[in-house]
Amino acid sequence: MRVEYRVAGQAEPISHFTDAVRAGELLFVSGIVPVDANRELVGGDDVVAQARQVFANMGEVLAAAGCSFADVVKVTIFLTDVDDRPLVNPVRQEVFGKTRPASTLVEVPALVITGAKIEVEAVALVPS
Amino acid sequence: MPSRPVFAHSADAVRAGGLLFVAGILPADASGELVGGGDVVAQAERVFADLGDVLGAGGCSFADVAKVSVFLTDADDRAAINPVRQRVFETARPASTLVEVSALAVPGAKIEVDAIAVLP
Repeated sequence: MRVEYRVAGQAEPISHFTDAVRAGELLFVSGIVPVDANRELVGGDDVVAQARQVFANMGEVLAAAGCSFADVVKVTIFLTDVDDRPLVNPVRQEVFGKTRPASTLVEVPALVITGAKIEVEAVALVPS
Repeated sequence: MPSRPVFAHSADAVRAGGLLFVAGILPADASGELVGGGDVVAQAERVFADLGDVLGAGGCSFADVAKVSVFLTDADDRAAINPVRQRVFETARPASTLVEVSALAVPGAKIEVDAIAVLP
């Protein structure tokens, strides 16, 4: 079973991909950047504000496929400055609550959106 | 499937339940030599050709891919390789993450792609 999700309100994908794809019981969420529906950067140079936008977008993508943050099994977080980790952690705590996904966090030299400091992808388990 | 270079302690792909996890593919020939020179498009052509071979060996096609991760040494190459992605995936659109990385395992390589596919 393979289902593509293109979520209303999310920016048009910048390349040949979609917002999320369900593969059996798993939902693969594309890397989410801090942009609005017009793909304009949100949050300026504030990594916390950027993280809030990323996780807000992620919540909408998850919901479109019938998932919530509680269903996320894995996140991969890409930061342009690994020292921003403690700053974004409270945002993660807010959105995940008592759920703790598996996680990988790495620093990268650049993201696709100019000025973006954070990108997050996720894998979720679709509730049966 | 044509023989594939082996760079480390890994397989080309591993099936896990209904999913096929395809290892990161670099633009290299069977000897591990760079293919495509300094041309990221030629490199991408090789990477996606090899991805097609590995998917095929696992009983999948591009239409079955649920997720790709694209690693570029220059994020600005994204636009240049997108036509290659469009051509191989056609109407299928996988989930995707694309990030820049400082270096890849083959000297001169500008792109690496891994994938997760759903077994039909």
